[in-house]
Amino acid sequence: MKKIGLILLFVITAFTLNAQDDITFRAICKQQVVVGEQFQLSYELNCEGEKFEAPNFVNFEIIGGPNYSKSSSIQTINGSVTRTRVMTCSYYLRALKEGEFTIPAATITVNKKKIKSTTTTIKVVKSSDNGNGNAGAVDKGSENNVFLEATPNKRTAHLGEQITLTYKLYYNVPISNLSISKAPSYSGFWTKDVTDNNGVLQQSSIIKNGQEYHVATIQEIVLIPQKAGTLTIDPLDITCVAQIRQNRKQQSYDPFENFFGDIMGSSYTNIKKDLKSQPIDIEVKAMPMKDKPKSFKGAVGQFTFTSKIDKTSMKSNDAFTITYTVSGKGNIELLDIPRPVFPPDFEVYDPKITTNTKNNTYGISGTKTAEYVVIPRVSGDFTLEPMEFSYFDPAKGRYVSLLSDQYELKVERSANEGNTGIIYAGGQEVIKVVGSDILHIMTNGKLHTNSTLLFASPLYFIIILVMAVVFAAALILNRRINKFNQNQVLVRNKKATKIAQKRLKDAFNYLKIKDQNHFYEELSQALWGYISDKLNISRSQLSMDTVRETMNGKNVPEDIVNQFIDLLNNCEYARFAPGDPGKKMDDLYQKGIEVITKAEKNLN
Amino acid sequence: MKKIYIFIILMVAAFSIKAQEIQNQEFAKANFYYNESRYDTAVIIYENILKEGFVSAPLLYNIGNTYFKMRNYPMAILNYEKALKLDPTNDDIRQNLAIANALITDKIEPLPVFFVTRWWRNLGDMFTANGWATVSLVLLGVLLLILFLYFTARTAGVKKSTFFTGIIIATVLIISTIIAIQKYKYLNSRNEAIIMKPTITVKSSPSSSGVDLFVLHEGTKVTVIDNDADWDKIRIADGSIGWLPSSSSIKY
Repeated sequence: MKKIGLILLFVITAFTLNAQDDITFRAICKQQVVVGEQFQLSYELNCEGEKFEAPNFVNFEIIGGPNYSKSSSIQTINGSVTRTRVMTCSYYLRALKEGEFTIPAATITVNKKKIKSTTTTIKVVKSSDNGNGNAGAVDKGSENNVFLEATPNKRTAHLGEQITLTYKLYYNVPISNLSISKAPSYSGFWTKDVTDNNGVLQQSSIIKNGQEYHVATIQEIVLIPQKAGTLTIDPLDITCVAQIRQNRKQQSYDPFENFFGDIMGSSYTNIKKDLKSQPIDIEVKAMPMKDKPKSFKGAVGQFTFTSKIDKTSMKSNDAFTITYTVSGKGNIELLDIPRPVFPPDFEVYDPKITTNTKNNTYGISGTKTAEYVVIPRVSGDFTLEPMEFSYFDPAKGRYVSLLSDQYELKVERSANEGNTGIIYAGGQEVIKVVGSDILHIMTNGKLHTNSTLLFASPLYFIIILVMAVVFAAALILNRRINKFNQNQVLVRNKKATKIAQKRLKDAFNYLKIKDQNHFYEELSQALWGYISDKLNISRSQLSMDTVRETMNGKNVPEDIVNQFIDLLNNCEYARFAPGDPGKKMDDLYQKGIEVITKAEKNLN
Repeated sequence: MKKIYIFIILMVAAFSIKAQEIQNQEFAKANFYYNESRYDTAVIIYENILKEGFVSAPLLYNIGNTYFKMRNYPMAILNYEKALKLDPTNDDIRQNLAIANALITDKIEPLPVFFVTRWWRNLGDMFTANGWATVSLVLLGVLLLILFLYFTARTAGVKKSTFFTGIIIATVLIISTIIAIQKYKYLNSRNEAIIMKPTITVKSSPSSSGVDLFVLHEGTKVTVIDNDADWDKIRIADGSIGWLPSSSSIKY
C-alpha cells in the first residue's frame, strides 16, 4: 500500500519538477585522520551523473569502495515541490603516512558534461599510543558492512608475558566462505592458537558506531613476545563472500530499475571481499634487571613449584625417581625447569619432561613436569639441595623465587657395590689385575712394641757413646804405650854402655883364663846387646842387615859400621878358627872396646 | 731399695716377653682364621694385637690382606700403607697395595718426580728405618777405627790410605745418617691419610661454604700439609690442594 503510494508520487513529480541547474559535486571527508586509520571519502553529486572517475589516491590505500548510492527526496514547501537527488560514491581509505595531502578532484559526466569535484585536504597525524586501537572503526553511517578488527588485550607487555590477540569480524550482511588468505608471521612472538570455536563461528550482536553488527571471533592467538622493543603484528588477511544488496546497473539511476530490482530481489550480489586487519604495534618491555634472581630462566606468569621423591632410603645401584613440577599460568611451554644438582657418582638419566597445557581466552595455563631417574652408585648419606625456580610476575611487576624441598638420602651399601667395575665415573682404565689375587699373608712376623725405633733411641746414643769412649780410650792407651816404649828405649840406651862394659869385663876375665868359648860368647853378647839396646831393635829382629840398615839410618859413618860388622863376623869365625887363641882374643877384645867407644860417640 | 728397683725391672721385662709370646700366638691364630677364609674373626684378632701395643710390618700387611678379602679397600690400603711405612723394602706389600689401589675409584696421575729425588727415595727404601740407623752406627764404628789407624800410623803410606778411606766412609756415614733422620721423622709423622668417606668434595677453604674444587673417593691417599680446627689442608698426588673435614680420612 505504501509502496504504491510512493510510486504514484514518483510518477507525478517526475514530470512536474525541473532538473536543477546548479550542480554541485563535492568531496566530503574528515579533515584530520590518524595514520593507519580508516576513513570514508564520499563524493556527493546533487544530480544524476555517470562515468565516475576516481582520482588517484596517492598516500592512501583503498580498503573498500567505490560504493555507489543514491537517494532522492521531494519536498513540498508552500505548494512548490522540490526534488532533491543525491548520488554518492564513497571509498574507505586508510592513511599510509603522516602529512597533509590533497586529494585531487574526481570527475563525473552529467548531461554529457564533465564536472570536476572539489578537492579536499586531509591532515594525517601520527597515531598516539592512547589512540583508538580500533583503527578499523567505520565512520558512522558508512556502508562498510564487513570489516575485520584485531584487538590485543594489552599493548604493552613484558618479555614473555602473554598477550591475547583477538580477531573479530563485524558484519551486517550475510557472509560466507570465510577463509584466512594470509596469516601474519608474528615475528618476534611465540604464538599459540587458542581459538575455541570448534570450527563454528559464534556470533553475537553488537551496536558499533551506531550500527548493528554481528560479531564473530575468527581467531584468538596467544602471543608471547620473545624480544624487547616495539613489535609490529602484520595484518591478517581474510577473504569472504558477502551478499551485498547492490544494483545490477550502477550507471543507471532509473528509479524503475531500482524499484523493480528491489522487488525482484536480484540486487543481492555475492561479492568477494578481501579484508585486512590493521597492523598493531606492541611495546615489549625487557625484564627489570633489578633483583633479578640467578635462577630466573625466562618464566613469566604466576606459578607454583613442587617436587616429589619416591624414596629417600635405598641401596646403592638402586634407582629412585624425583619429580619437579611447575604449574600455573604463563609461558609454561617455554619455561625451563631448573636441572637439579645431584651428588657426584649419582648416575642421572635425561629427564622425562611432560607438558600439559590448557588454552583459553585468558591465556595458557597448565603444568610442566621433569622426572629424573637417578641411580646412586656409591653408598653414604647425601643431601639433595633444594632447587630454586624463579619467575617474573608481570601483574606484580617483580620476580618471585620458589624453593623445592630438600631431601636427605640414605644410601646403603649394596652387596654388589664393589663388583660393578663400570661404576667409576672417573673413567678409570681397565683393571689390569683382573683374575689375579693379592699375595698371601706373611706368617713369620716378628712383633715388637710400638716404640722400637733404633734411631735417636737411648740404645742408639749409648752405642755411639760407647764407640766414642772406646775410640778415645784406644787413642789414649796408644799414646801411653808409645810414651812408655819411648821411656824404655831411653833406659836401654842409657844402660847399653854399662851392660856392654859389664860384658866386656866378663870377657876380659875369660880372656885371662883363656876360656875361648865363654870369651867369644860374652864379647858377641856385649856387641849385640849394645847395638840392640842402643838402636831399639828387638832381639828377634837382630841381624847383620838390620844393624847395618839402622846404623845407616842413624847417620853412623860407614867405616864404623863396617868395623862393627867385621867385628861381629870375626867373633863368629874366631871361635872356630885355628891359630893362637890368646893373641886373637886379645886383639878382638881391644877392637871391641874401640868399636863400642866409637859407636857410643856417634850414636849419642 | 735398689733390690726392689731391679726386681721391678725384671718383672716388667718378664711380663713384656710373656705378653709378646701371647701376641705371637694370637698372630698365628689370626693367620689360621685367614687361611680358613674367616676374615671377620681374623681381622678382630689382628686389630686386638695392634690395640695391645704390638706392631710389625707383617701384621699390618696381614690386616690389609684381610680387609682386601672383605672388599673394604680403603682400610686395606690404609694398612698396606702403614706396613710399607714400617718396612719400605718389602715388595709383597708394594704389590698388594698396587692391586688395592687399582680397585678404588680415583685414579690420579702423579706429578713427575725429579730423578735425583727418585734416586734418593729408592736409596732410602733399600733399608728400613732401623736398618739405616744400624748402617749409620756400623759406619761410625768403621770410621772411628780408620781414624785410629790414621792416628797411629807409623808410615806415610798407611796414613795416606787411611785418610782417603776415612773421607769416603765419612761421606757415606753422613748420607746414611741423613736418611736415618728422614726415616725417623717420617715414621714419627702422621701427615699421610686415606679417604674413608665413599665420596667427599674438596673445598677451597676450611668451611662447608667453600667452593667445591674436586671430588675424592674412598681409598685415595692424600698428604696432610696443614690443619685448621676440624679441617685438613690436603694435597693429592697430582699436586692439587684443598681442604677436607678431618673426619673424612684416617691419618697414619
